[in-house]
Amino acid sequence: MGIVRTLDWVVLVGTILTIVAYGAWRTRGTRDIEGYLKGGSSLTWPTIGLSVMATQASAITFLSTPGQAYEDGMRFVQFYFGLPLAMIVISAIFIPLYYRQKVFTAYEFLETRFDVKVRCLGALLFLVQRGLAAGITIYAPAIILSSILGWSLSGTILGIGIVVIVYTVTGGTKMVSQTQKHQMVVMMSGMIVAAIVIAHDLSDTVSLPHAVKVAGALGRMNVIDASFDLDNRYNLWSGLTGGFFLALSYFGTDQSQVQRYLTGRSVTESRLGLLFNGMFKIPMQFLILFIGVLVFVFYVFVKPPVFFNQPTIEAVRETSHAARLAEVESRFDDAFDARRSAALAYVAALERGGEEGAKAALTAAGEDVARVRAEAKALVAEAIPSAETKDADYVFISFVLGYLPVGLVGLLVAVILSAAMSSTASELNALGSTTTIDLYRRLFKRDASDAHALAASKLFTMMWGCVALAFASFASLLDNLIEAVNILGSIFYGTVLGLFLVAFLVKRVTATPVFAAAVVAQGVVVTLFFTSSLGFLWYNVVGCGVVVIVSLLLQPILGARDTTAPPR
Amino acid sequence: MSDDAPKSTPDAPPPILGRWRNVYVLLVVQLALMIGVFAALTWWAS
Repeated sequence: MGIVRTLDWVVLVGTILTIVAYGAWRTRGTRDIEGYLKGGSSLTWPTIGLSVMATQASAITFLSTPGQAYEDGMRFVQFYFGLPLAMIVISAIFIPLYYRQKVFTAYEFLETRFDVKVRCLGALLFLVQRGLAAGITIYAPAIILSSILGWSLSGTILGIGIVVIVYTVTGGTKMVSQTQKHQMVVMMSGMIVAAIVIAHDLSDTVSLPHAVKVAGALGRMNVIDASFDLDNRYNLWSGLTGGFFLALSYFGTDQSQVQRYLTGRSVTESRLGLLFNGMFKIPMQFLILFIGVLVFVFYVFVKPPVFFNQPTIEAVRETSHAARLAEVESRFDDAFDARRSAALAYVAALERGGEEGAKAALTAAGEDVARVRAEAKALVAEAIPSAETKDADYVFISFVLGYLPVGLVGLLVAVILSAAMSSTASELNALGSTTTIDLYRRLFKRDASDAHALAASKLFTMMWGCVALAFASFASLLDNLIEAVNILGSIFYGTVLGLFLVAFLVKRVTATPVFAAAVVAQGVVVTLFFTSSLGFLWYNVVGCGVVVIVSLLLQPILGARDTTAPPR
Repeated sequence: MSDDAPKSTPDAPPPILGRWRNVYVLLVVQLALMIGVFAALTWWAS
């Protein structure tokens, strides 16, 4: 498919190579383990803040989030409400302790507080979940871009993976942070320009306030949901509590984030970098979701495909279900026309008053369109049982390719690839560091020189890169990519956070009780995952709570066995 | 701000805010305001 034109290619390749080349030039000459793993402790808060944001903002963020708003509305933004509060706790408690202990990794701290087995458990939990997530981080954009753009899937995976592995292995932490700073600028610039272009395109038909009202009538402006429901993934309360615990665990104990702010030249720079993230993360997610809502309103007036994954729908046309598909598409056209007319009537009513009746008609017409789309998805599942029926991840990229001007298409594909590379780089960097510092140098080669540790760190980073590539090559498309990563994280994060909270706050608990409690907590969370419908954000609360409570209960029984000194 | 800028004082908050506690309060107030604005937007658009 020749959707990406010459100018797009120039913008895409130029943007990515310029960022990587500039990062390599800025970080040339890193030759010691301190410089390689902690960036020489030389970075300032803008670099740290942008690097922290770029680490979290994977390609999935830019592909999946607008599609999530298209399908489900704005409510996903509530997921981030606990984040600023977590930044405050990490800034006030975690960062000073990490600096005082002069640690390379978060898990190193667990040994100074408990013992080596707790440190290794924390490191292993991190390696398992982050090693898997790194594969998804590469695979997710590759499957979508290759499908839509007609690129080879394995070529796309290798292309993203090899560039990241080369610059992460050669430049280390400082290179990762420097490239992330510029990747983040490209990502946000690209999304802001996209929002302006979409709003401008819409203005021929409807003003921005009226577009928001149309989205509201069709259930897409559900930014705040104050109802309390444990099975509801995204509401105000799950966001503030579950989101708080998830953010506390992710930013406070996940080495891919801890390594970003340990590069700071002082406690102040690290704190300000994290608080910068706390200040701008929610507005950023709001913008990305709002772009999804604008795309939704655009497609209220311009006919969308009945199913956004076009290669899949074309495959259905080749099956015996082609006639039924044509019939569903015909009914979709009718439902779309009815919704478009109802939307225009609602906009007219907004201008002259008396909009209640028009709004009810629009809402009903919107439900009809949703019903026909659901039928189309069911038909896809029937025709090709192995096909992915959730097309939300294809909404935004389809819109970009279909309606944005040449050049901007290249910039937005660069946004998606930059995001994939920035988060993968942090993951590989952290996986290599943790393997070297917490396992290899701690358990197998305690007398390793700095030069040996540096070589080992590069080797382990490359090894994890190959693991991620292998996992990406064999993964299959998950239900919703961003949710898949968050669910995977939530299964492990609660337990790890529990270990750190006990370390920081419950001074009388010693190593063996907290180790046993962590094993119990991980078992409980995994059991809940397989047997209950509990919203995944609550796994963080449960895992953390079980570690704290069980370690307190076990302390009188198992604590006497510990010979380690009581905590300071 | 360049990464080659002079080192900042090890644990000093931004001078304009005086103490770290004030920085944290600012962040909480911003969060509360955002939730308020989002709630108003939800109510207005629905």
